[in-house]
Amino acid sequence: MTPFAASRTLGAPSRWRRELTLVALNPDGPGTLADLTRVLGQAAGAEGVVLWQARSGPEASTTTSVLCRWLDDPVPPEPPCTATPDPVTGLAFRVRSLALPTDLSGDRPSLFGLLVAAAMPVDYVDGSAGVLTLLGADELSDDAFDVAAELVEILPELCATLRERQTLALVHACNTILHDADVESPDQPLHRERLREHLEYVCRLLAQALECTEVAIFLQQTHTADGRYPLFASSVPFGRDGALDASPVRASDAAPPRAQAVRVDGPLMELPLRSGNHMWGLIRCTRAQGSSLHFTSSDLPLVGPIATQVAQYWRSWLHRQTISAENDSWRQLAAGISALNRLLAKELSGNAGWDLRREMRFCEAALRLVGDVVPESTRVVVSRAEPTSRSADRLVPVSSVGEGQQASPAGIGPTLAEHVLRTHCQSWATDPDELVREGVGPDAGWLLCTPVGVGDQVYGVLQATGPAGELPANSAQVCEIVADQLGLYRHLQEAWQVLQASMRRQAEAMEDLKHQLASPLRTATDRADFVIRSGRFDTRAEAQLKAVRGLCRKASRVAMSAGVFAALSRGQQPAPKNELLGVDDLLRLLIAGADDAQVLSNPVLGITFQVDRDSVRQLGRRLVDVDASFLQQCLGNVLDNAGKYSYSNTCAGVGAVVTGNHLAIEVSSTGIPLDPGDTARCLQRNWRGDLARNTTGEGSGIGLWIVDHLMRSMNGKVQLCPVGDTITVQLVLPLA
Amino acid sequence: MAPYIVIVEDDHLQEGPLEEYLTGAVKDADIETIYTELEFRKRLPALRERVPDLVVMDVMLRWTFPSPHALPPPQDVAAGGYYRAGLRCARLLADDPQLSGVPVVLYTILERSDLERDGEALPGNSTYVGKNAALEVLSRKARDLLRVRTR
Repeated sequence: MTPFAASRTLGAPSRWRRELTLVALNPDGPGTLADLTRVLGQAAGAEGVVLWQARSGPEASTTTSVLCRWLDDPVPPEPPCTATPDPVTGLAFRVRSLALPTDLSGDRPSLFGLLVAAAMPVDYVDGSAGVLTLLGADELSDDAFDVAAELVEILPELCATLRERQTLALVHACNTILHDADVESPDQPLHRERLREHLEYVCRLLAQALECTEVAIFLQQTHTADGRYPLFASSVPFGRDGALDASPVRASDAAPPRAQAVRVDGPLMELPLRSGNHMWGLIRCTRAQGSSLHFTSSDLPLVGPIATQVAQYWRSWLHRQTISAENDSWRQLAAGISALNRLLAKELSGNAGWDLRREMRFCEAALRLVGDVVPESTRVVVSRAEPTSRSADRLVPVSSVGEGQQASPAGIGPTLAEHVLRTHCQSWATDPDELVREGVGPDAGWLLCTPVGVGDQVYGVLQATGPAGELPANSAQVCEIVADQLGLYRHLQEAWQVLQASMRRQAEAMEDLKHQLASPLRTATDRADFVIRSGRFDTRAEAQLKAVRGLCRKASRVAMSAGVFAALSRGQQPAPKNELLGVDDLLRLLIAGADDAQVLSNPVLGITFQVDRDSVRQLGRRLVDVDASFLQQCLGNVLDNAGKYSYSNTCAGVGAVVTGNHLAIEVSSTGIPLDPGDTARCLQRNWRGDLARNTTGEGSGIGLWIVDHLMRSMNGKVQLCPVGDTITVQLVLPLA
Repeated sequence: MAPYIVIVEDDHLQEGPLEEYLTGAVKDADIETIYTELEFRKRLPALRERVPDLVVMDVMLRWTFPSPHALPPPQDVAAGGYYRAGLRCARLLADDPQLSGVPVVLYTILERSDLERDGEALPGNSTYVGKNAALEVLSRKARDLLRVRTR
């Protein structure tokens, strides 16, 4: 055997040391482990070099891996080889010193088609054991051994340095890629396909650094951790339809991984993508099946920082995507609410009143909005609460969108909906048994019920359901907002109806006033006309003139009422001009009022108006401090009511009661009864008792309201004392 | 044949002069007065038996006079109220196959615009005469309608 060192070693050890160091410390970028072994092989004059590392396996067994190799002449194709060390290398692993073929009996072993020349132990800086195997047909000369031994001494440090520099370069490159991704789309999360392209670039860089067949990144697709991580990016192209190319082993071939821990297993290495305590996916690195190059724990520091970067970016991307999706849904919701409000404004400006068709149209628009903003919902129903004879309201479906639009009369989720109606709080169900009980079927995964109302007033329930196993992220808030909008709609609808009724009452009051003002004058004119035409003054003419007088007084009183009504409507209070009235003045005033009432009363009904003079005379010499015209007005209004609501053939009595420092003028009549509970309401503007409204219909409910104000302006008051069919109205005045 | 006129007016103070005036204005007129909406509805069968030649109808019309035994109004009357009772009565005539040809004069203190406030047209058998106008206007309108009717 000829020592190959003589012919192949090309220089002094210092030169090779410098060259070896340069591989690891090259300022233009680190080399690879293969570069290191190449220099070492060239320095020793070898035809090939294999660098080994022992790795721990299960149950504390130790196996060996080929870290890298260099072959001076790799053509023809690399012969197949396992990672099993040859006997010389194995001896070096065991004895941890130089091993030569001569140390063993038998034929000289070979590796990768080359004869083994020597094997030298390498102690890596992480404490693991390794061996450098020199291959060549020639024996190792002393010089070559010296050079190799010297270089092997610094090899572990250089390996570590080279790996650190590789790691830094990779991290920097990955950083640049992900930064570019951020710059590409600063305001919105990067489009999914573009992100995939960026991560594929990361995979390719990693595959190049690790000399892998494939590097693949598996990522969790939502925040929901179900332990499955679909393939997202790979260093080699993969079909979206699942068709794979013909690589011997594909990182993406395997079923979506569930691994939670680092796994280094021969040609396969997996690292979880962790950020905090959450695992977002994993990186899987694969080398060809049967390859002698195996991953070792030394590879982990290279991939670990990249895994962390990818995990953090993915978490951030998902978060941004969630926020973006939420923003989109809120924007959609805001646009939908604006559209609803425009519809509402249009309905209000239409001035055509509310009906079921309009309500259904509005509800359908609202329900479609829920369906658009919460696409996970498959059915949305709004039901209206309608009072029943029982204490609880009944829910009646008004409108429904989505699957199964033919809502049953009871709607969906009746129990939950009634609960919401009682508690006025939003509620939901995701329990399958409960959902079946609520009648939403086995396909539904959630049911959400939201009260429709304003403040404490609940008008109905908005129900949404969908197939997912849990409530969609923003469904509760969206339903709450839409339900509030529906409640507002209903509130406006009711307010609109109240306003319409109020406007109608106002118009009727004005019509009544017109009637009261104009009719007496018109009739008085007609009657006076008859007297003039008849040309004689007889008892009939006298009766006509009395009627004319009564009508004129009534017209005068109504005109005054109109003035008071107008002043009160402007917020002004009547200003009395008080004077002191004695018993005679008061009697005259009461008799005149009763006479007018009698004249104006329909004789067919036979109602009589009588003044109890004796009761009035109890006043004696005392005086009443009063505005006479105000009192006349009040008495006239009260007697008008007596004439209007008294039964036929009854008597309306006018009298007085003196009590302490007060005089109460009383008008008692028998007719349509007043509920004692309504006496206070009688004095309210536009209030009319149901019985009175339904019996005679006439009147606008402002007479007693005016009396109340006039009496209070004179420091007096009006009191109503109903007893059965009899009612006594007291006009209480202070005595001087 | 003497014309048969029905006055529907709940205010006796107005009804008296009105009846007197129409008596003078329409020769040999047979005038009947109805005071309330309830009474009008009760009289409808009789009116079918003897169809009036003219109805003078007040618009604001009480349902009935107070009585412990007064009948409550039906749903449409309770909802529609007192202010348009005359229009309801006019429509009852217009919708009645035997009475639809009877001309109705809506004789009211209200303006025509008040009657049409809710966007509803007057019944097809009706004409409007305001009470603010002189009684001659009513009598002229009554004579015209009666002439058309008898022709």
